Amino acid sequence: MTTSTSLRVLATAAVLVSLTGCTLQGPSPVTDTEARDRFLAVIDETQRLVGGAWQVDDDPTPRGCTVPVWVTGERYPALRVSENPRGDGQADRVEEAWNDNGLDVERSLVGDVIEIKAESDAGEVYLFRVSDQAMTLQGESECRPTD
Amino acid sequence: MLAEATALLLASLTVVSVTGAPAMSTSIRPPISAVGVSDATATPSTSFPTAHKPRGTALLDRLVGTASPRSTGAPATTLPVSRSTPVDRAAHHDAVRSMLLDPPAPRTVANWWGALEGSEQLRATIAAPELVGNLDGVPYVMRDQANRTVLRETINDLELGLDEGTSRAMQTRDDGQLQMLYSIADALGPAEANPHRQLITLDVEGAGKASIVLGDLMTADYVSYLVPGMFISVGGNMVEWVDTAARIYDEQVSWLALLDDTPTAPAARDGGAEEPTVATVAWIGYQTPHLLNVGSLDLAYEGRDAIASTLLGLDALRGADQPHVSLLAHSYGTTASMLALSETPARVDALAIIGSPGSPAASIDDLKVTGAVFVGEAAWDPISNSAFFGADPGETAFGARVMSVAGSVDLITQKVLAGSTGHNEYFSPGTESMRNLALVGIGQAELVTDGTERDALRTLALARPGA
Repeated sequence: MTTSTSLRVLATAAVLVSLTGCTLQGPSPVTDTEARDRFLAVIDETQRLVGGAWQVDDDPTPRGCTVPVWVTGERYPALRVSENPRGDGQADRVEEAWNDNGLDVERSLVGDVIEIKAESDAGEVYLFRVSDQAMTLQGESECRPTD
Repeated sequence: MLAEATALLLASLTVVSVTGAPAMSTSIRPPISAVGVSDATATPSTSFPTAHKPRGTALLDRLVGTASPRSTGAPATTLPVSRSTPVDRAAHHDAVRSMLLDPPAPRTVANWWGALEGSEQLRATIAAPELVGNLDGVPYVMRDQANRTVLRETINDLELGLDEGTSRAMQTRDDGQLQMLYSIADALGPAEANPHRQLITLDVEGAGKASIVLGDLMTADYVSYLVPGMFISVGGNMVEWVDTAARIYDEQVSWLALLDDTPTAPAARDGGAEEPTVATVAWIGYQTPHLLNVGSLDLAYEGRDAIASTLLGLDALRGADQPHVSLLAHSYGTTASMLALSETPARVDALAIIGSPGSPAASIDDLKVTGAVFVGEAAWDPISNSAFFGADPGETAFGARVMSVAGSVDLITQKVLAGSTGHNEYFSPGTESMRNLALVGIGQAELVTDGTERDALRTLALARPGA
């Protein structure tokens, strides 16, 4: 076997190995607009809950995703930054609110930063971080199949 | 007015016809003239020829001296400007493509462009957008303007041609090209995209090339280039590649805000009070290989030249206000990146190589990287460890720092990060690989996890001044 052939075999194997890990989650029974509004409502409500001045850097450009298998979809991101952290109580309130909303919530400590990560049954992802310097709120809406 | 600008550009293109087109597809190509220009700050490697005469000097003389009616007083009509016939247009097109195959040095281009008056720059952009849009050294705002024009007009032409009806073979070809261009348009997002996106590379022919930057390359404190490997094409992956750049952008913005006063931020080093900013580039600036040609280094040399020109173009434009620059390279793109950093004057502040099929450099000492070099290798990735194109960057002797992509329990975050499995999973959102790539891009080497017990000792204090 030549060296070129060897690499082609490796490359083929790489393709096959990479074709794993697809989600089986289907879209929720709402319109695409409703799905996006539902996601942004959680982000906006979290921002109000925490308080302070926030910079909204949401990108209106959708991002690609796959739902459920081999079906092309898209989802919308959110990115908010506040330079007015108010201590650990904010993380507690976010965690409690997201739990009350039925989200699957994980809390962790990244060095000095408290990180609250949550995911909904529809696959929406939310991420709240707070440090002595700032708070950030990120996420991506449900992956919806494109037309 | 248009004739004058066209004259200026066409005159420059005649240099190409005099010197001839560069040799292509040889197994060992010489470095491009674009990176062969003398660089006082660079230390050429032993394999880099220093006697190469940069053609850009002749080009600059021609453009600014002879070709410009402003400086010579010569009427524009004395120059070969005619593009009134299909033959003229074809010749112009061929000359532009020849020029872009072996462009002048970016610093030469930057100086030439800076010497033009604003009205001349605008006329040049209108007269030859394919050239202006792809010349490293031309300010990105003009390149974006030129490339968007080419993209829009090419799409219009193709749609019109398909509507009017052509042969089946032509329709198939044109439809494929049209789909590729639609993917670029999609990747640019809406006008209100946040951050703003600029199309800084565009080749509408063949498999195409395109680069889209998120953020402002002229002002960003941190610039990260995503360099793709095999199977990544403009038509098939441009949107996905820009999405990856967008996610890294978000992560970098978030972590920079949380870390604050980041000591490596150029703004902080300069004593500035402004928040550090980032720019991420979804870069598909070379023809990536597929299964049938992945065994050759030919395309890696093409990538080397394009990467070097890109980096030197940024360097020329930023002048004394240099950002922290990183290459985040994948697969065959790692080989091309290491060729650029070992065989040309191009340099970066940080390099992350993931899923590498091998390095032409024996160790990190051969790479022009002022900061850390990281290597990541996912489980079940048969390309990593293959050392097909030279040294295995994952070997200890190579000297790169390990970047964990396994997704085991992260001792810093005390949580389980998603792991990367296989060759194309390194850029999946939410993975340890993505977080580490984002941290490499903002100069936070100390926070990059390596999957060992040392991760337990990494805290944000390491990223703070005086830590």
